[in-house]
Amino acid sequence: MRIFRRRRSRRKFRLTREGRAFLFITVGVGLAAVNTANNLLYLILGLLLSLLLVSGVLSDLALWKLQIKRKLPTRLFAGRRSVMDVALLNDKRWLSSVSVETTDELDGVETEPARFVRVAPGETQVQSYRFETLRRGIVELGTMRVITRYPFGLIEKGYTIYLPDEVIVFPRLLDHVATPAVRPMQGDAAPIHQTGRGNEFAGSVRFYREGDEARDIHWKRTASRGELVVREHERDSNSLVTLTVNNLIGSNVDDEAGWREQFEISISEVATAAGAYLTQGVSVQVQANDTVSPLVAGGTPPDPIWRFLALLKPCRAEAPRRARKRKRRAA
Amino acid sequence: MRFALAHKLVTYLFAGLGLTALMLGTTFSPIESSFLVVAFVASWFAEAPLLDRAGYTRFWNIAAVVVLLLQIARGLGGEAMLTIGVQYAAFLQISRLSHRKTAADYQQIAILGFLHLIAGTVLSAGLDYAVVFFGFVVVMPWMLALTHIRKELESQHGAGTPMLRAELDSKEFATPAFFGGTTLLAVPLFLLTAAMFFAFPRVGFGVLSHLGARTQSVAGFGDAVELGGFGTIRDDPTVVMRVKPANGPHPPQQSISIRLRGTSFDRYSEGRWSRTQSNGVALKRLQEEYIVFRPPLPEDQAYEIILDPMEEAVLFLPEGTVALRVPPTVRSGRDRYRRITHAPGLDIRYGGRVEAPLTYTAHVTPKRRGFPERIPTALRKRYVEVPAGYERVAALARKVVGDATNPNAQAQLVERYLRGNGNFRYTLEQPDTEGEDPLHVFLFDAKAGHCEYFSTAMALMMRSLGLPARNVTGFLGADYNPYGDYYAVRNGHAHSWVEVLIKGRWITYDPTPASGQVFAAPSGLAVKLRQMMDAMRVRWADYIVEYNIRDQAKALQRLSAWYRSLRGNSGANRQGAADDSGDDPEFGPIPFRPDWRWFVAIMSTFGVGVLFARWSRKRRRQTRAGRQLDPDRDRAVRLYLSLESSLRSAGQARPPDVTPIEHAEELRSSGFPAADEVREVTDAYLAARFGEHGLPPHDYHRLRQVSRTIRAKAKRPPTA
Repeated sequence: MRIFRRRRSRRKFRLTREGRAFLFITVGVGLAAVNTANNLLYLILGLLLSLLLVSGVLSDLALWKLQIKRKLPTRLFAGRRSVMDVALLNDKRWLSSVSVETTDELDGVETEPARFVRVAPGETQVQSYRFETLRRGIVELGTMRVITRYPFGLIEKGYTIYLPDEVIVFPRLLDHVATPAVRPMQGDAAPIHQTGRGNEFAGSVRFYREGDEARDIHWKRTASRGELVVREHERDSNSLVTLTVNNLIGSNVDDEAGWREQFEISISEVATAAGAYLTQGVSVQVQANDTVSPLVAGGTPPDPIWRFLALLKPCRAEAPRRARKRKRRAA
Repeated sequence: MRFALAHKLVTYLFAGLGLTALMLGTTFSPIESSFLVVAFVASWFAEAPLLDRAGYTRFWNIAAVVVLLLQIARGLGGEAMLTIGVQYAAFLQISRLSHRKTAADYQQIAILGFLHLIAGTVLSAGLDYAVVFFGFVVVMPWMLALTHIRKELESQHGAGTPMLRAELDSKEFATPAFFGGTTLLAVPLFLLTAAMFFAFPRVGFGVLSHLGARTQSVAGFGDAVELGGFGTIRDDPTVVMRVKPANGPHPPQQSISIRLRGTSFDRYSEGRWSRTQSNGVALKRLQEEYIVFRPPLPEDQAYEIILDPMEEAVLFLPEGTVALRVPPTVRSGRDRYRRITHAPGLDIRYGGRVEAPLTYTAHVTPKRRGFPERIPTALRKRYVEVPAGYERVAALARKVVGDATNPNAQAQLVERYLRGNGNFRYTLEQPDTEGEDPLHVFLFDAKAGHCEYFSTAMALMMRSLGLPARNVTGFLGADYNPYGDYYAVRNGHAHSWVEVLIKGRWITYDPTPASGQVFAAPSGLAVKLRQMMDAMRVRWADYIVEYNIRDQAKALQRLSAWYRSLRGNSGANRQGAADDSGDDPEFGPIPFRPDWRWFVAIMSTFGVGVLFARWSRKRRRQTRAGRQLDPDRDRAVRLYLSLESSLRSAGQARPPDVTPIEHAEELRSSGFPAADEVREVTDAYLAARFGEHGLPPHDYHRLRQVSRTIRAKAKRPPTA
């Protein structure tokens, strides 16, 4: 995405602390020049103002022909710090882009900046920033501020670009949750299991996910693909557990805030338990009051379950119709 | 270069320029200046782990307080506040340089350096300040950019972390390209600065203005002068004034023998000339013209004189000057005229401070007969006074004039006697007096000396004959400076001669032998450089230091006239504009004739230099990539680098994590127009580089050609 081609870009211009000091000195020199009629002070005043002008032009050059891309993390958990990668391509032919900062906006809140000290012409550099989301669900990524203080750190110049994206934040995982043992199921009702931590290599690979063991990395394939790839293992298991979440706000709930708090805790417990069961090779399904998650085979990543839990919303029992009719009559 | 080293070098350059600006004035004695330089150099060696010691920082903090108290005590003791302030500012910079650690310290050094530059404006307005200023124009972008990068690195990695140390040791930032680019910044900076400088309205109030320029000392123009006391200054090349005759010789002569009169002395006693003290009377002024004898007439010749500030505020005037034109200074948009005084002995001095060379014009009558001068009675006696003990001199005078009774003839006889008949010779060596009267030694023993001896001898001889005479000091001769188109008067041109009052007019006689009056103009490279420097000094003073609202208004008039002429207005308008500008002696054209050959030569050299740098860089890169390879593989590497260059130009650069073959495939699948050529070159490269196939020169050249066509092909729009 080219910054200067974005129609929704907004320019930003601000003096930094050093810039304000510089301006203060400039005004002082100007006053002294007028007061004393000393031409050498006029000369210095000209130099100071020229530096500000040149600084402004060079800032624009630093921001010229930049392309920015976010690299979203594969998994995000509520309440846990994560890292977002930002790739910056300097598409200029001759000039480096120095001292560029990008600041993202997560759900309307600005994140820490990702700093690029120097990106050589034609090169792409990836920097990251840490952030933490407090709630599960969909988090919207909106605008991104791109600023530079190049070359002298006097002026902060930048643009706000609109890079819409969204990311699903999985529920907060708890440190520990009880996972009672489950018995294997027999017959047709038993789930089919393909992968897991077994002894035998199944011959298939998949992309690395957070939590995978380093010893499973398939280095040759990783080198050829340019991304981390891990081996999958077979494991025979036919156990299934169905976890339930109560997402119904009953009509008799007085303290809805407290209920919602409890609801979030139960979701965290279920998410943690689901992860634990799947690691143990037990297939997992989550049952809510109004919906059900996909069945996830034991040994496979719990992402479908977590995604389901991330998006699970409380529902309400329908209000009695009679009461509404009465209201109408009264009206 | 390592970032840390580059930043340190630039910081020292910046701070050094600031300290130099402080040292330009007279606030530092030579000893203090030497001490400052030593401390500046010593601070360079202050490095970690010394900088990390808590006691070291504490030492500097305590020292700053102690020195401050010391300076306050000196201030209370009567020391000039400016001196105290400037010295403390210099100390602070040394202190800061001695314990610089973080970017914040470097920022403080930059601020202090810049404040020093500002302080320098009140300490000196000469060309030396110009040099410092232009140094700042070049170094300031380096300093600000590097300090900013250091701050960014610190905020990214944290101060003192190993990662930061690694970044400071990297050579990624302080590259030749960085320094080249920031040096080129000096060009727009300079142009913008110049544009703003000339455009700012000059509405100065003149309060707390300049503290005055550094003056030079030239003996012979004060209240007294010791015979032979000053020594020889004949070889001193320092320019003290410049003369521009309005109708000078064409082509200009290498030297002219102009006589510029300074002051005169009326009393001689014990080997010492002195002048009767008088405040003098203010010269009458008609607009900008000060009347010495009469208002200027059209037949008078005008000499523009640019006089460097001297300790004695004497105006040097060519012989026969009748009037002066001294332009006023402009303060708050108003003209402030100087007070010019005329004291007995034709001693003409200016009042007020000078910040730069003083420019004035002398109107000289073509009739060099002298003017009747009103002489106070008390002074008339002094002009014939001969101190006791000079009877032998009087006897010599009588012997020299013989029977001549005409005063003019008597003066000529004495002059002729001293110039040659008496076997006197001119020498720069001081006669050895051994406690005796120097004039007696000169006249009767040594018979050799310089101009002071000759003029003193003639003055006393004329007085002993009863003719009023006075010893005059000034300058004789000037050398042409082709770079400034003026005649430069050096310290070495200082001279003294005699004026004798004959029939109510002062007539000039110069008894110094011709060898003491005529000197060959110096030549050589050093002289040319000095001439260039002096021409620059004059222009700096003229166009920068003395630039005022009048010049600004005239420049605007010229600009608007030029604009009108561009728009093709009537000839009358153009004529009017030419009259407005061309005839104005104040704002004449800049005496600079551009030599386009130089310009073409410099630009060609620059172009060749750039091409060579690019070629050598490319060559180095290729050599590095193909080092220790056999010729076939070396060619293969160079071929692929050429392909990569073409792909970069076409906007299809190969990412570092993609192999050449993958890149070629990706280009093919993305529909890149020259994908087949890329594949062909890539295959040839891989076969030669890693396979058994060679890459003979003719294949190499053919494939280079193919890779060059990629760029053009990629830009061509696809056909339907």
